[in-house]
Amino acid sequence: MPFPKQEERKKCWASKDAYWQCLADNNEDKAKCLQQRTEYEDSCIKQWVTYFDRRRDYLKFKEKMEKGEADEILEPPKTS
Amino acid sequence: MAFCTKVKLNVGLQLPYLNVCCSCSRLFLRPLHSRIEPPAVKFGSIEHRHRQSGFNLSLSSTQLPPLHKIQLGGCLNGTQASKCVYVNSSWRMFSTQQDAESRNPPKKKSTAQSKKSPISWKTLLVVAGLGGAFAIGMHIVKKEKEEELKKTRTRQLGKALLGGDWTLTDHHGNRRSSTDFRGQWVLIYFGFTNCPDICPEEIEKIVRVINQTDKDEDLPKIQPIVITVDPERDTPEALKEYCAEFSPRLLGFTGTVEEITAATRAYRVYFSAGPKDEDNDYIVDHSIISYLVNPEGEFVDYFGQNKTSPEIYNSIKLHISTYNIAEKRRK
Repeated sequence: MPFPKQEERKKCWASKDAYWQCLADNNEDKAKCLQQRTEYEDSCIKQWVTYFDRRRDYLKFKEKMEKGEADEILEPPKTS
Repeated sequence: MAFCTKVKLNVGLQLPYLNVCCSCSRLFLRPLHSRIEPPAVKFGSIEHRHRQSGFNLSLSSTQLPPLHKIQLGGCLNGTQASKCVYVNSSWRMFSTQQDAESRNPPKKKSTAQSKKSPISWKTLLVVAGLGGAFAIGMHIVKKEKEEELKKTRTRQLGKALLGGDWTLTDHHGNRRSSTDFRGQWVLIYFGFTNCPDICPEEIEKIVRVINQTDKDEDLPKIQPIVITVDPERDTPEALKEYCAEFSPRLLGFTGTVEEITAATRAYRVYFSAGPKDEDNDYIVDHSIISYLVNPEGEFVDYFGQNKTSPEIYNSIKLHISTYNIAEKRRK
């Protein structure tokens, strides 16, 4: 599969940022951000969607760790 | 031999009638343990016979208490039985030669140790203290020197061990060796085209640095290079397209898995392809570092993700001027 070019990359990042912003605004409620999610999944290749999702989980976990609230270990991603 | 302290008489051999048995500590009439059967005499006569031992008592009856009163046993004051003798109707304490000796212990001969010697505990402590302080001081100085030496050594060694020559295919399809870049400063980044966000960010940063150094009249043109860590997917064409989007000066390199492995090993680059998904896509995890190489092909410095483009620019400028000064000195 050819790699995403610059334009595609930028589009993907923009939709990802929008989706993340929506989640932040709605207190991580994925139900409220379904539209952004769809757009995000359309703009980015599947591998990147997985990557960015995992990255977000990691960043949230890191935040928790820094605040000292993390009391559960991040579960390994389920291999579908 | 027993000495009666009260009557001041040796109870034993010296007295005509009493003796202490050396083996059983009992008082006997002389002779000891004799089995001679004396003639039986009536009580009160001179000659008495000690029932137990069968010896003759040669004391007069007035002096000697009745036979059955001669006994060994506890003195009324409770001392050890063997140290008492019943003489003249009363128990007498007697002391043995051993008791006399223990009361006045013999004077010990004075040895050389009692003489005053120059080596006393005090002097020993002082010397030990001084010696200890000196040893600690030496140790501290030695450790400091060692640390310094280690630092300089690792600095030099660390720099020398990184880097090396490689032969790869550039994105025009030409076989190039790192020796082709002798005489030029090179900035190498290891990445791949399918990189989601990190590689584009880092490469854009490098391009900003190169743009700045290009503008700088004091600095030569630095060659930015990208070497792929994904040789399976990144063909020369793919790299050409990828690099062109960032800068026309950016040169991409790929090769066989062995060639890429050799190049990454030279710069101690970590890379690991992740699992493939249903589209056969995967992410390559890798260390995010750019390497500065001087015109002699030697590794000079590295820049991580945290370094901004101004920081990298300043660092490169410093390295180049240092190198030029050294070059002038050599000529």
